[in-house]
Amino acid sequence: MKIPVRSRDGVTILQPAGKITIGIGDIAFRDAVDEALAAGSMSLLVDFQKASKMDSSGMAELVAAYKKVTESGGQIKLLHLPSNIRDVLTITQIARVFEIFEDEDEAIASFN
Amino acid sequence: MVVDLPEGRLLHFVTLTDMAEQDLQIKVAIASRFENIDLVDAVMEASMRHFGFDEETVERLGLAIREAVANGMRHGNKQDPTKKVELCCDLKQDVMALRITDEGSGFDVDAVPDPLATDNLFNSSGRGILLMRAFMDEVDFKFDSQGATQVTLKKRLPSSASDSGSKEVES
Repeated sequence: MKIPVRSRDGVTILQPAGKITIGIGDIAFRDAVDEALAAGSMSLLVDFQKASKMDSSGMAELVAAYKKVTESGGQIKLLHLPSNIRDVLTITQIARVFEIFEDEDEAIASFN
Repeated sequence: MVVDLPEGRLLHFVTLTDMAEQDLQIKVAIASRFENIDLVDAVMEASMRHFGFDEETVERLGLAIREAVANGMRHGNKQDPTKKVELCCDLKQDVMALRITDEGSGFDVDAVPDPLATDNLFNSSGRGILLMRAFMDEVDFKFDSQGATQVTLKKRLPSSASDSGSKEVES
């Protein structure tokens, strides 16, 4: 499983699809973040529009990504959270760590 | 009742016992491979729709069940594929009761750090139990003489419950 990545105005946009869950989706997400950081990306936006589900392993990778990116001096933000994923990020209070956007233009502009 | 199963999954057994109009038992046992969790997902999501839960609740309960099974595989069975995680779902009167049992050596549930504590917000573990407790009416852990863990998850059926699947979580 490879997570599609595109770039816009200096922002690296990760687009995970399907389940970000234990065993496959969580590892693919970790790899995508690591590859983006290795490529020098300091502005990461995770677009969840095509994501269907996130479990605690996916959440662990999300907070790990936040730590890695911010400790590298970068920023990571979230876009288009489906209601079920927003639900679990709110319950676990991970949502309060991130800036969350519904509009890609606004999200991109927020990095400048 | 018909349950659609994804192809290519290692399945030890699935039994559906229509004991009575209101009583039903479903058993699933899977090898400790994470990809097999999708099988439990498929069986239980189809079953819970049949029980009358709405889609949002099916999603939430499915995640709680997924977390219990994943815990059994990862922390209990240490991802040993020769060890099984068994799920037994009993539907009796107005309650769905699930027992998820691993073949591990147990753990101290009280020692799991609170994932909502500020210092633990970036921890890699502890959220699975939080989600089980958020979405189920009752969550109970038991350990047999060898230490294997059995987690029991209970949820009232929608006709007997006024909630939609989520409880307030104290911060």
